[in-house]
Amino acid sequence: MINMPNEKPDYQAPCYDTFPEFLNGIGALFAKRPALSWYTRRKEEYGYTYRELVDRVRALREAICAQGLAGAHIAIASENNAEWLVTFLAAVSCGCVAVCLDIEQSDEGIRDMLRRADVRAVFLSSTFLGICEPLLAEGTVEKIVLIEGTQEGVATSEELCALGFARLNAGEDSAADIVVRPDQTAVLVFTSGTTSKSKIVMLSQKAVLQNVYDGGSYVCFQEKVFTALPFYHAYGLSCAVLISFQQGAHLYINGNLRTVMAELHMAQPDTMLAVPLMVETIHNQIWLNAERAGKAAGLRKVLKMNAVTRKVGVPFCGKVLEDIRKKAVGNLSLIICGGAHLSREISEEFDLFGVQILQGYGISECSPLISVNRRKANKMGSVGLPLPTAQVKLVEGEVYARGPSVMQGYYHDDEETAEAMEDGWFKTGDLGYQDKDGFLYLTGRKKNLIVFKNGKKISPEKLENLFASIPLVKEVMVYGAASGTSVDDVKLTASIYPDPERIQGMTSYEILNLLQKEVAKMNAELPTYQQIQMVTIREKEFPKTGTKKIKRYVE
Amino acid sequence: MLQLIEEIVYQVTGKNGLTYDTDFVQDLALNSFDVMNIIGKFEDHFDTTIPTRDVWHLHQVKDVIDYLAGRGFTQP
Repeated sequence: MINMPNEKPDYQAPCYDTFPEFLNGIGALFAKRPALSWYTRRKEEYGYTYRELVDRVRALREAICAQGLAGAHIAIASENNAEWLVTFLAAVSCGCVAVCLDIEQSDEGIRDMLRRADVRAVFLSSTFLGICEPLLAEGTVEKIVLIEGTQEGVATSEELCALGFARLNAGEDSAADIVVRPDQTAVLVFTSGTTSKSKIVMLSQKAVLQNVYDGGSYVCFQEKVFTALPFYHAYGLSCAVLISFQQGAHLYINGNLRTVMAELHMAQPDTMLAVPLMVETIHNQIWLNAERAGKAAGLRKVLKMNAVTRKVGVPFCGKVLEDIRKKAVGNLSLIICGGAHLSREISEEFDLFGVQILQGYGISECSPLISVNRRKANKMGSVGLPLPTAQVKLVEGEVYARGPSVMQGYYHDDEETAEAMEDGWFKTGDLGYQDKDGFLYLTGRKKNLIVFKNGKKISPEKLENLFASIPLVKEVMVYGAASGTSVDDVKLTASIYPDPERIQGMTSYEILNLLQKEVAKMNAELPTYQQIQMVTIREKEFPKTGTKKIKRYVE
Repeated sequence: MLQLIEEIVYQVTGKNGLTYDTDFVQDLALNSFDVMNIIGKFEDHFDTTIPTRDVWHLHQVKDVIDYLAGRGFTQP
């Protein structure tokens, strides 16, 4: 086991134990600073200062308590927006459990998550109203609140905030009297299980806030932070949002992937939190522009020369690269990248352009950050140093993590919890090693999960189960076929052994055609990243294990 | 309309040679972020909003054309 010595923090912030303390702290420390900004479709900027944000959270939590929902499981089903964050902070600062719904699931998947998480109230955007309303009718959910838009007969968070402000102005602040303990569950997040169902991770108030403190002590954000990471994911929530607030940064949020590039230029952030897919898209855009302008060859030359001359402290054509950076990403000088593997070449190239990329590593069960590179201790290709309170050890190459940020367990699933934990250590399922300086490197995965460059993960079994309804399919194995240079550069592929009785007299072309039609129907119900991109046919059954499961790896 | 789609796809990804049956993910190997960027350009062009859950159903060029036509956009 390797224990890392405590490093000197890059940013000194108070370490909060509970969200009510966090809220009081950021409200008092950064009152007049801009906290949050967002753009409308018309490209108008709106925002809250820390004081406005905290006041709105206090009003909403007071209204939540007045509705008899104190301590309840409150789900949020919405794209990223300011009210998502207001709802989250209101819930966790009055002893409720915030249930962060993965909105990229099918309609039935969303309803299933709400049922399994014992949700009493759902705060949602209008997109999800029709999906969640049946739960109100069946009595699973007691209350639905629209956080964006209006609909006759449906409460809105605007109305609840007005009610909360009225109560606060009348001297009633019942929410402030609620005792919130550091060890009580604050958040439920959904993570890809190795079975067909996602697992529900329970994170305590202290687990999340310790992770925020530790992460913030390793990486100091600058003045303006931009993120399009989904808030329902622990990475977006803890690392992008909560660390920004803890440091008093100005956070620009994007709720719509299709406007990321435009908003990045409008906001002119200095720091961005991203997944490799976004970084690669920016990278591709830079080269596409260079090629269109007939300057790609020249740029390659400048980069090559710069890499050499930098070593002796004299950047070659630094101004040229700076101009390219400004055109591509404005003032951006720091990207924190996680969720999947980013190629070293891209990190190096961005560095030459003047943008430092710090790769980190985490998993929802660890709130999520386990390790991250630091501005002055950055080894490209690694996922950095373990956080000050995170212990990391390697057992037969698998990364185990322990510390105050590890989950309390899986909700209503003792069996999976027991499987994932060993004497207080969480078994990440990721394979890796540490170098002599303690930097962690990841080499692969032990768990059967497919990880995409946007940080999303999928259990192949989940997709394989969907094939059960196709009579033509006798056996199927879904896997990520390598399609590029990195381990996460994969094409979701279904290898199918068709039912021999049903394909009698058919040509291979006819079989493939039929299967592709079935897969197209299946894909229509799935988010883009989960859609099967390639179908192959097998002539023989799959080799099986002793328990008659398909062998995924050829020995 | 095909020409407009081709222009937008080229602008975002540098790829061209589209037909009505071209599949964005399978044939052009676009990732989800590319697809979203392309949809964003359509939104700007037609001054409309396309819900993310609708985007899941737009696999091929002809799906986009049909979808836009369904919303009254038949001319580029």
